[in-house]
Amino acid sequence: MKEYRTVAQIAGPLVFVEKTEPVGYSELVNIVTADGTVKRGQVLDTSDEIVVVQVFETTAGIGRDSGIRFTGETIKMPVGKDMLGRILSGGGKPIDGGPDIVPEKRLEITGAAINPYARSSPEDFIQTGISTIDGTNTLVRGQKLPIFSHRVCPTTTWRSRSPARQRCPARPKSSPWSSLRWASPGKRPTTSWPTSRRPALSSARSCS
Amino acid sequence: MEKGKENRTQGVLKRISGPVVTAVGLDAHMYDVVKVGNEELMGEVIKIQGENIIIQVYEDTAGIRPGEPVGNTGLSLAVELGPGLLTSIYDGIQRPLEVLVDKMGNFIERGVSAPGLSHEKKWEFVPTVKKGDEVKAGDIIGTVQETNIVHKVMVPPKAKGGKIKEISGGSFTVDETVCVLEDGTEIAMLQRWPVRVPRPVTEKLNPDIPLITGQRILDGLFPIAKGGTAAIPGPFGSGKTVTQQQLAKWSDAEIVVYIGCGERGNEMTEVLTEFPELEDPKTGKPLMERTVLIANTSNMPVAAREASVYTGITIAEYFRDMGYDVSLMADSTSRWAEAMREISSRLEEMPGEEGYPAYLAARLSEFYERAGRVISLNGEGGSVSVIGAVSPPGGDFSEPVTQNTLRIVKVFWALDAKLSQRRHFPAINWLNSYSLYLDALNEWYDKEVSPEWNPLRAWAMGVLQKEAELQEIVQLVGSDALPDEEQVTIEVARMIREIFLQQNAYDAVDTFCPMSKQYDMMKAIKHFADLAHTAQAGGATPQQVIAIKSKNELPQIKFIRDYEPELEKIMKDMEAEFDAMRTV
Ligand SMILES: Nc1ncnc2c1ncn2[C@@H]1O[C@H](COP(=O)(O)OP(=O)(O)OP(=O)(O)O)[C@@H](O)[C@H]1O
Ligand SMILES: [Mg+2]
Repeated sequence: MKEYRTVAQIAGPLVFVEKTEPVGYSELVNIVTADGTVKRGQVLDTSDEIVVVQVFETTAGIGRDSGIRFTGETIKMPVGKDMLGRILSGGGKPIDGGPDIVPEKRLEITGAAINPYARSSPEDFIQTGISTIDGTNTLVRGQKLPIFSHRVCPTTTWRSRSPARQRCPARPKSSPWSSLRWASPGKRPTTSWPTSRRPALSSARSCS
Repeated sequence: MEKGKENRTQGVLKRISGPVVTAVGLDAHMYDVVKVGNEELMGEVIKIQGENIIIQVYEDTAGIRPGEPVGNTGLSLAVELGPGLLTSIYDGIQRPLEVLVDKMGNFIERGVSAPGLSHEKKWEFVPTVKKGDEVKAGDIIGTVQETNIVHKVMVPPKAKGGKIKEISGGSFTVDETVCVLEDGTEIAMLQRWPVRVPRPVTEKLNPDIPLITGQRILDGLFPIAKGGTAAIPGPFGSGKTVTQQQLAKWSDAEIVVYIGCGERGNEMTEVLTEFPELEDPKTGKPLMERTVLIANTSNMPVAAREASVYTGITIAEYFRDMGYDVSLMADSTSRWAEAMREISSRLEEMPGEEGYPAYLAARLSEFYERAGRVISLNGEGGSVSVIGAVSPPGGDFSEPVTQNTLRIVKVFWALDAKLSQRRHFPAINWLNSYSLYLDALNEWYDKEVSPEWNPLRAWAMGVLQKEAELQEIVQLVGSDALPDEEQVTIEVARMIREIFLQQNAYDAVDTFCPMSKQYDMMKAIKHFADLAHTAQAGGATPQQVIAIKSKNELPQIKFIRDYEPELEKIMKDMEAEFDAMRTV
């Protein structure tokens, strides 16, 4: 792979590289700094004059002497059944000390849009075991779900707890719940939770 | 395509910046459709700057490199119009999504083209003119039974017309010639029309017939006219989509075009699964048979979202030209405006308010201006009504898309988060909303509903406004401080809100309320108010009036299809209760 040392400008998270061969839009880029660290980025704009790379981490250490390698590929990730039970970094690399993932497939991380014609209505109720969700703000399989929060609301505990407990009960023929929504965020109250008192489960809605 | 020889129809890519790419070495005109890169992605010329031809691409451009080829088709972005549109679901550039599933499975990949109409399917064409007849542009020459809707085959709007040399009925594909004119012109059922150009009409008429929607607060208080424009702005989860879908289901248009623009895929699925099962209250036929869907969901390419709105309105105009009343819903025009903003920022244009391009207002008004009640070229009367949802960030109506939309549309249905949180549905705020068609529609309501209707509506609005004023006093000094008369006004206002305004979209009966029932319901509430007034004049206390039991039965007539006997009984009981009060 060719390495360019033609950095023209660095501004914020952006690195401008000139005099390259044709580079693809959205390509994954490796940036090698003087001390050998490799940082990753992605092509934001490409032309025969200049290529703009957005760096995913800090640009600290990147300079005009850094080497730029265009991988010729958009961002893909190895996936496979092996991944279950593993701990991965944000870039998809194992960080649990275990072996590399043996990929069954390499998929674009941006994914492809589902053809609306090929969708079916989400109607299978997911039981989380958290009464305020199951009772009044039911989760449905295939639904997207934001959890809105204040700084001190315990969302991490919640998020990790609900997949651990969730179950799909026997599928009702047509679920009366499918039209309900988890959260309809209105104006959020500006006061924050008193830190001394952990909010009771039933006040979860005001977190939402 | 029939341009000079020196025409350069092939160029190369110079720059790729998301959905916007630049090509050089190419001759092009604004809005020409081009094929971009080795994969021949579809794009459209949106700016010309010297040698640089700037193109928006309707598919994902990841991996495309400078130096790849660009070819100009010389055609502008157009839709295919003819039998086969109804019941279809299209993406923003009229690729049938059903066909795309067959071609590439459940996910949308790129570089696949598919025509808007089937070119194989045969339709039974029945001529309505004969050899020797003179026809001109726009004239209807025959019909096809497309679904339960009769598709009228027209001479294309830009054709010269002339005397018919040959015309015959039979089974034809959309490409086959069904009619030949003396000068040799061949007419097929298929027309193409560039989406960014409004189809011509003979005359625009004043909209003076309401689009009846079966939604009480809309028909009753803030009606939209056939050929009119309306906006539904509202914060998250306040009911924009439910209202749009209610209109798509129940409005008394003959054709419905529903554009899901940058919103959820599941909502399109809902329409696809529900509509074939629901019946048009007028014809008894499945609602799907009168519907065309356009879906560019939030994860589909953004440039195609920009186009989807034009694709939709062009299809709507085509059916209007046949003499149909068409209604078009766009959910949400904010996502459309955001698509414009994204393209504009890639073009490095000078941003206007909140980053939207300076031409935002112009684009919005061009779009809404294509609504209207018209006499088409063939003399038929038809209309396109346009209803746009607006999703202002944070529910703040002062942002540019809402503001610019309100400057153009004549009906404003303001959704209100406070009402939806109280589960008052539809959460349309009766104090902020308005319809500028009221005066033009008065006569219709007079004639078709009852001469009593317009005074009834004015009375109801008066009570609701009075209630708002009184609420302020109540909050300061409590309701006991109100004069007797006004304590009853508060009760009557509550009845108007809970009986008339609240309407459950999910109840099989209440989801659609015919105008005659709306009238009966409002009349019943007014009757209570009148009886109460008389009773108070005769010395009854507000507590006595409010304690009338029979009025509590009124809300349930919403859920009864043949409600008349029940309503009759309630009103008899009510009168008896008031009579009893007098004799005590
Ligand atoms: N007329 C109605 N009758 C009964 N329920 C309603 C009605 N309108 C809205 N709702 C309720 O409000 C919910 C949210 O409505 P909807 O999805 O239309 O909101 P929206 O404004 O489109 O939200 P978003 O901005 O997230 O797209 C619905 O799922 C439904 O439960
Ligand atoms: Mg919505």
